[in-house]
Amino acid sequence: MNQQGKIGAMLKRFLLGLLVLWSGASLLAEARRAVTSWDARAGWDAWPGGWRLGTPPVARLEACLTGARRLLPAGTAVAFAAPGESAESTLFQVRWAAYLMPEQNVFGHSESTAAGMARYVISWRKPLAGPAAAKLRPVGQPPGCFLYQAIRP
Amino acid sequence: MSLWALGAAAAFFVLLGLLGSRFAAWLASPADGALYRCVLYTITGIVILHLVLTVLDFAGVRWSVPVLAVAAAVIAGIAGIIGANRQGGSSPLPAVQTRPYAKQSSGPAWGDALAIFAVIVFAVFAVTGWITMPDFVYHWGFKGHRFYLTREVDYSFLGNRWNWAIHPEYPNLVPELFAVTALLARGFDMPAMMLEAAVLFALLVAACREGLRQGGADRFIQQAGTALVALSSAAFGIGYIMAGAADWHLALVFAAAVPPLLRPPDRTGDLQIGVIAAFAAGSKIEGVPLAALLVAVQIVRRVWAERRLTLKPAVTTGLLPAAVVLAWLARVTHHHLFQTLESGAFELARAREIFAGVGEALQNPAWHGLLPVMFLPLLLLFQRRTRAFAAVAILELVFYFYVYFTSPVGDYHYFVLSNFPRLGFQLVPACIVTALVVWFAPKSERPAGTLGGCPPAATDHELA
Repeated sequence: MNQQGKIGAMLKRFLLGLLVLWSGASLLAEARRAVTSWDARAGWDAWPGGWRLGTPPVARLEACLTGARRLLPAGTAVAFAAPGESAESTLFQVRWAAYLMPEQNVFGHSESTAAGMARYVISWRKPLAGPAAAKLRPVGQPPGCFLYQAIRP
Repeated sequence: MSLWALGAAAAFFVLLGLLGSRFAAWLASPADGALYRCVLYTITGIVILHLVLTVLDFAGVRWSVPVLAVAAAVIAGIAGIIGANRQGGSSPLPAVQTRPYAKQSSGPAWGDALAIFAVIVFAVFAVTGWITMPDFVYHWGFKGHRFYLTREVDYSFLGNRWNWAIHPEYPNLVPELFAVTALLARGFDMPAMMLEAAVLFALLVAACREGLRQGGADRFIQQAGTALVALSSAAFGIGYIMAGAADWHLALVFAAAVPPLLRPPDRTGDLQIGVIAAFAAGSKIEGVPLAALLVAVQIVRRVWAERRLTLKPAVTTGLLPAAVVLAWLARVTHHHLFQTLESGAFELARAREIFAGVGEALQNPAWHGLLPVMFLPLLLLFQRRTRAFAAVAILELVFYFYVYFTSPVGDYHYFVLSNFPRLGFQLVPACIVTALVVWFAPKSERPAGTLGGCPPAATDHELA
């Protein structure tokens, strides 16, 4: 290898070494950021699309569903409603509710493909009112939510 | 957090590796190092498990530890008997030409230490649940928990019309792994599920290290490359909250495919690509075209090398992926699980929105500037040694963009932003490896169609 080739090879290795250093610094930065957010998780109150395991909103939902679970037979079709929330927020809350209650069939209360399927309805934080509450009978009030049973003709 | 569950999750992967190792006589090339063999055996074990669970579902048998143990024992026994008969004849392994790098040690060094550090850091964050990917909650983990409770892939549940949001049409290997981990752990323990991502990460790093070794990179490049892949992947995994994501599977697929795609095509390479492709096809929906591309490229290489078309290599490469894909297609079609989001007309008018999204995604802070590496295959295509890998990677990229241009989503800018950084993650580690192999291997060690300086990592005797 001639002199120019050697310098070129050394330069490439030096750049690769710098890249490794950069990646190491990136990992430390991400780890630091994760630790900081982990330490602050008690105050984590993101919108439902940004919820994480172990944060207060998830803990609140878990408490609600734990209470509701005692009153629900396994494998029941359960609609989840979040009055006053946007459709997008509700979509994420429904997904979290389904994850936390995998033994039930959870779907959104406004889900058109599930119209008339719900045996029970969980209303998150606020009670249902108006037409949404028609043909529903309150059966319990778990922490932070309201549980209704559908009245079948 | 349950230590029992974490232990069960770790033991599960050891058992999968042991099951896969029963096929060593067919799977391991003399060029393969011990770590890469572990990668191949684990992937093989996972594919076998997936096929066993699929057969049990077809037969209507509920999953249980005793049933799975019996199935694994039977398969291991059959593999042992056939393998013993095969070893009695001529060696199943082709002779390997040694290259000047053959005397190089591939023992652990500073880069490996950094890689282990990166894997441990990621694993610690993963098991806390703090970096759990939202998709684990929305569908991967949710389906895994559901399948654990029902002891089957619950197609009647997936077929509910309101379940469109959980991607009922996706292949089920990923939730199956969660479900079987839960079976062994006697409960769906979230940290145990998250440990899976750390295991896949470790396998990914091992595969990348082997790609560098088989590619003929010298010791410094092997160490630097291994460290670079591990540190950058861990940084992205933590920053983009990737624990529990199925993208680890496809990143592992690309990385594990590098060694057989760098070597001249042979029988062992056919089967290695076949197993890796089957793993891809079972893991994610974009893994299905990836599997087809891997199989097609390997068959073309074989035909090109031998100047004739023979059926055997095609069967060896394509049988396992075909079994996985056909079983999946049969169930998805039978239960009408395909979604309207999967089909649509090609709309060029979306280009501005899509490329604006790509431009923004390339600057994602969790990547720290490394994401453009995913486009390196466009350059690697001009190098003969990396052409096969580059062809697979480019065609998979084309598939991603085809989906962007055809899926009727609505907000394409957000659509691209929401998945491009992690789709890139599937490619980046393997792209780093192949780029280092090409740009750092000495010119005298770049003959086309050779092992490229790769030392034989084992003799036939060791494999017997």
